[in-house]
Amino acid sequence: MSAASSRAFLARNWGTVQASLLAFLTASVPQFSDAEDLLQEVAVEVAERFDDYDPSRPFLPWALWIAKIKIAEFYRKQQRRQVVLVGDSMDALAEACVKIHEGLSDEQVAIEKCLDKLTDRSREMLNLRYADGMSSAEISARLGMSVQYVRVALTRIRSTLTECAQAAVTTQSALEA
Amino acid sequence: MQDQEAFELLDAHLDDLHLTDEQIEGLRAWLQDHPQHAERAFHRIFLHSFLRRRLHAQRLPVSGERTELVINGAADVESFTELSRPHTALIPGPIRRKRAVLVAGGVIIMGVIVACVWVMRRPTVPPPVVNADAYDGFAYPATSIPATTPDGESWPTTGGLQGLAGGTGWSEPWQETGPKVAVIVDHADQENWDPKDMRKFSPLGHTDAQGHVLQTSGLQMRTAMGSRSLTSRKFDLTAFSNEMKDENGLGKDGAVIWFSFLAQSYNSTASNNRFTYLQVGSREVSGFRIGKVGAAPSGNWTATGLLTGAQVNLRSSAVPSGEMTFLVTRLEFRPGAEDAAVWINPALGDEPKLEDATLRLSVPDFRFDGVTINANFSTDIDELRFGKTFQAVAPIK
Repeated sequence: MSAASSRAFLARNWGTVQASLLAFLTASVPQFSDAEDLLQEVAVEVAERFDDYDPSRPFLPWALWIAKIKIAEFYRKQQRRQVVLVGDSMDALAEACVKIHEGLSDEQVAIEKCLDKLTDRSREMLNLRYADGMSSAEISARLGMSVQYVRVALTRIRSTLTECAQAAVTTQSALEA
Repeated sequence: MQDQEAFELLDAHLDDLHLTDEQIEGLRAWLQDHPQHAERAFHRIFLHSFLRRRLHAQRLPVSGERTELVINGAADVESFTELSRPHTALIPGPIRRKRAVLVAGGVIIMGVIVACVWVMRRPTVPPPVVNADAYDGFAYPATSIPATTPDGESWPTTGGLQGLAGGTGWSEPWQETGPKVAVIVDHADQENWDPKDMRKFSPLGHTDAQGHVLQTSGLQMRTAMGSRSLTSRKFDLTAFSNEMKDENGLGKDGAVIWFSFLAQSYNSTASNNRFTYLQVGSREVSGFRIGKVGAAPSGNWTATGLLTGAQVNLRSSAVPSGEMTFLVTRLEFRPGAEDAAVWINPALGDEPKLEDATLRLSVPDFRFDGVTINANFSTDIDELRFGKTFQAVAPIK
């Protein structure tokens, strides 16, 4: 592969796996900002190791392998952080990531549509959690609710969005079959 | 462990809440118990990750109009009556109790789903192919640069983009008028990257979530390391249609002009007066500036109007300038102030909606006849396009 086509191949593949990799990193480290920082490190490592990559093999598992290395480095540097998903459970998530990766772009479109259907209160809670990065306790103080209410409410909004998006994707796939 | 409890624990973990050892063991066991568990968990994790990216870039509108998303017979949180019940997974075992299962409300569900699917299945008409009125992909030979020191002392002070006259829609070559010059770089030939330099990952490009790839060509330009480069070029106004210009330049009232470029800075900070921006119009009278500007200390991509030397209506995004970014601007020229909208990393294909713009600001009335790239520190820029439509400035490979 020439240098130019190699660059194009890397850019194209990175673009298609970036969202899945970020999700995998999000599950593996404590905070979104940690995951976003790690994604940058994975990107650099992928570029540096790209000559080692066998283009006849799928790109995502290879990128996930590098992501796991970066996650391990992250926890080595931060020994006091609670590690939730490691070893076999992390491998199970990596396998799931590879398996469902192809459908995630459709799912993303479906989630976007489902967001339009939420109530103002739900949108406000999502804004506080994800746009402002507030914790459940901070959201509860802002909205004058109990922390427990906020946690339950956020879980239900997410369940609602997940079910809405998956139903839409499934129905669309059936119609296209 | 029941699925519901597993999702509550997963949410708690993703919300950075502390889990007990027992809860962690239970969640791990559930994940490994069946491949479908891991797949469902990954869908949930992906939702968190998507919401973070989506809402960090742009908040959800809270309009006051209320719509209902109904799943399994229950509307979302505003209508739930169950919310006073305990959050089972976060309460230690002895006082944990089963949550009532929500009852299916089939007719309403199907109505919502069918509506969703109908909207999503509407055929998309491919947009007509229109070229940009002015374009430079920086298809020039790479500039020979001596080995640089971190303070940029050995950066070229002559040459660079000076006199380069490629691309289309320009009336004259690039002009360099700063103490240093912007240069052309070939990413493939770069060696000895600074460890903090985020640009070493790959050459500039943009692929959207659907896998559409922005059309690119040539190499890319790099503004001066250290202080500073000032690079400008005038348009060939005859390349632009009459509806886009008047006797004072581009920006006739009623015109809509799009422009786009790829960019990535050495890093994301704006400290030590680091900036790199593209400017149309003039600082002294009025104009528009987009990039990494000193007035936004976060170093995130920012847009601002200009009026008699001051930056006005500055809007800053949540996207760091150290990330590779595709910035698309729509300028609507009106009697009086202009309306500017900026999308960061938009989907390619259909024109993005104004309500989805990452930044939206009012800009003082202005006209322009060229573009200036002003930089105090190093940023790579590529695929500079000006045109009449989104598709003209965001062509798909």
